[in-house]
Amino acid sequence: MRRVSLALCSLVAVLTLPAYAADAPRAPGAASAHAGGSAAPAPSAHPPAELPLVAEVLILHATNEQKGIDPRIGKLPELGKPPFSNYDSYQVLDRVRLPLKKDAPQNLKLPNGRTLQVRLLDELGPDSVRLSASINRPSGKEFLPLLEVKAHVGQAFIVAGQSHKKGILVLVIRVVK
Amino acid sequence: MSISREQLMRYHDGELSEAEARRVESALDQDPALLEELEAYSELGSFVRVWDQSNASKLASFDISDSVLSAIEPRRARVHSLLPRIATWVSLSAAIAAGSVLVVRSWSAAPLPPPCSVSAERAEQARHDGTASPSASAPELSVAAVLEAVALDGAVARDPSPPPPATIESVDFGSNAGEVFVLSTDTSETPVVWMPDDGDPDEDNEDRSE
Repeated sequence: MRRVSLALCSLVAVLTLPAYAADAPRAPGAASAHAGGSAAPAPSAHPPAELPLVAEVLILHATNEQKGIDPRIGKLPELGKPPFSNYDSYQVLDRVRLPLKKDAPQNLKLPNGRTLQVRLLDELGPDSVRLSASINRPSGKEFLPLLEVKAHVGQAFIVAGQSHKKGILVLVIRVVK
Repeated sequence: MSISREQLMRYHDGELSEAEARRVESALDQDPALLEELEAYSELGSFVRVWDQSNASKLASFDISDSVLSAIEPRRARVHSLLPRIATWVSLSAAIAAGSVLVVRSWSAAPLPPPCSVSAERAEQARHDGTASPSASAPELSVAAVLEAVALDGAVARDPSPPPPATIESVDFGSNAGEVFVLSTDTSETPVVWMPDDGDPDEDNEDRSE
């Protein structure tokens, strides 16, 4: 009798505890705890804190130097399609995260000396934004005066074609949180 | 002449009529066995009287409830010993039921948005529709709102379609040439702005030749 009770209690505990565990990642502090590794979870009564939107810029150098594709690029099937497939080598030159804040344009110096400017224009929803990008020469003269893009979190767009050291620059810009 | 045992006992107790008594006495004279039986009745009556006198005090204090209680005491003890088991089973059943409710709730229901956000969205929608009432902006939580949120969450969970790809709304190439196209792969559609250098050297004299 006692063994049966113990077994049933254990069964109840096993079935119940995962339910609480499954709730835990929905806690507001869970994401920061995951990122920081030491933050304590916030009380569940508070609404979840919005993570800041970020434009992640991956700067690639495309050449035909038969070096292959840098494994740090990860999965980017677009590189296997024309016109990107015209280059056999892709190297990561830089990976930068630019925080997206309204009225606070972010500048990034490119390897060719030009400057990429990214600006958040609108937050269309919790995971959707409208942003602008432009590229200026070192003198301040515009190379790409204006590009306006609407994107969801996780989606990317590519700006490519600028000449750089026997190849071209490929800028993969992705909205992340 | 035969005398029954009942008649003999009634004679002993003096309950017979005179005629019957005479008939019994004549039988006693003729039958010595019957006489012995009568003497036995007399001895038994004396014994009963003596016992009755000696146990009168005990009989007076005799209480049937004690006997009944002492008789049912073992059963009461059994009932007492069953109570903890019944309590264990009841609490165990309650725990199982509560656990099942929690499990079903956590496994089947998608996380609800905060109630205030639901009402805020509704209020915002009402403002857009021009149907905002004075109380529309006040935070409120109704069963309908919660059910609507659950239904929306369920619809979102059932809809596996990914969000539309990023779209280029406008582009200004300035004095340069360029083109915009979309690269489709198995998993995504990515807009591309392809903008080769125009051949004009930058003023920093950096070599950008291929």
